Amino acid sequence: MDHINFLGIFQGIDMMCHTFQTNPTLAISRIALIFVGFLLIYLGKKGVLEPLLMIPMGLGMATVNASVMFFDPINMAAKKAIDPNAAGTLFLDANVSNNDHLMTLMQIDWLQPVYTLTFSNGLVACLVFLGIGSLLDVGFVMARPYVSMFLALCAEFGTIITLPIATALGLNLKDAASIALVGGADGPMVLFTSLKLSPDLFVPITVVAYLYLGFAYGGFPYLIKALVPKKLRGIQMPATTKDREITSGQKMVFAVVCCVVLCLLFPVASPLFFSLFLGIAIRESGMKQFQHLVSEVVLYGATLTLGLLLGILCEAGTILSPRVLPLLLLGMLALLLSAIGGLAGGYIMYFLTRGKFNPVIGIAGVSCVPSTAKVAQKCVSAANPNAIIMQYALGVNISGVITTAIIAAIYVSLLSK
Amino acid sequence: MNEWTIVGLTYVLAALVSLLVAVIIHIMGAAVKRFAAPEVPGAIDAEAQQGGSATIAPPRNEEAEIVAAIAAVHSYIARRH
Repeated sequence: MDHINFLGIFQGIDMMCHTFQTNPTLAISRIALIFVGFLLIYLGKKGVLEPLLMIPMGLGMATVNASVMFFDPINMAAKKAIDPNAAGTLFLDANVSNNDHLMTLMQIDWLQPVYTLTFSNGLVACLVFLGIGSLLDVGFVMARPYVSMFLALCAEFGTIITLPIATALGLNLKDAASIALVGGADGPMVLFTSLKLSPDLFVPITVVAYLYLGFAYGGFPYLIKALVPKKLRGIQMPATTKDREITSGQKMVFAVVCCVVLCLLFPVASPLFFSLFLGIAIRESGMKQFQHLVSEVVLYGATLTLGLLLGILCEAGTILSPRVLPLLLLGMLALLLSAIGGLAGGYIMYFLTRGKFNPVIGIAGVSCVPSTAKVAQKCVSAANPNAIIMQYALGVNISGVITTAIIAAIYVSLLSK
Repeated sequence: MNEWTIVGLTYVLAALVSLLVAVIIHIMGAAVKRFAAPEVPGAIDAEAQQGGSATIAPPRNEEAEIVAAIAAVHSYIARRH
């Protein structure tokens, strides 16, 4: 051998040097995303962000941006002339639309089958919902249905009002509805809706949604402290055993009837409704083997798949677009407005009950089950260690899942034509 | 349809459907309570339903259960944070 190209051996570095010469912004973004991946792993390990999601997502994000190489799998498989400057990875290609190319990539990229058969058809969102359903005790909603649904509806303020703001910033109605749904604080729902309405933008929208949900967990206590005085945060709710008077038969009937009625009203969102209520029905039927399967194996398996794929999808070449910048702003705005709406609902209940209702409960309507209910209880406990609002907050929290699903269904029904 | 029409329509429809869900909960809860066979005091456990021997749970101590539930919430929050 006369000449050895050492950079050719270390392809990742070769690719990075090449990208610096041809597209420095992309190269810098790749390096930045590697460090963002490290940060997510660190924050997940510290418990600041949800570790179940953030650790696989952070590792996926860092790894995929380091693994880009000169790679042209489609032409290589077709035995055509290979583009020497084509960039790719052995993980997956989210932008492939040609079915022949997809079949080729399914045999080359190791995560392409998982992505195509679970993520891009919304299956993973439904599996997460199935698992969440099996953890939900709807007795908390059934004990106080009107108050819970009212507060959950107030906490959808960001989901609604972000839509016109997004269109004012130049997004079309479908993209605006998809990003507005971040205000519902329900990751699987955002994934499902953006797949239906914004197939071109669903990757950045879903990534933004999951990142912000993590940050919401850390940021909401400050918002509560800023908007609710300590005296009101410490309001003690009356102790009640009403939740435990609801029998499993009542919960089962509710799950079955509600599932059928909501699917009848919104067939476009029926996979989500069905998954959620199937989880609830499994829980209430007392089938322990199924409950273990769904709440442990399916839920954690789907969460790992979701976190891993979200991280892998954060390759700089996939998510870098001028359209992503407004999404970053709008996602945060949607969550902030929903939280403010929830607290406003809490204040309305406070005034209607003449000071007997703790307004902090309202923020639990920003679903994100059960994180916001725990955040609400934590803030209340800090103000008054004897005040327990958990059972009220969980009712509002679970109602938040249902109202977000309803709004997602309305958006998809109105805009998907 | 402009964005404000969609916003208005979505909020009104969401409110109506949420109200419908709350009414379903209310009516179903009441109907099940009214027509379902009364539950015997003490629960037959799942094992018994699958062919094992029926065991009757001891009578419930409501007050102790509430205290235990509150303690569980506190310890859960303490563990998480």
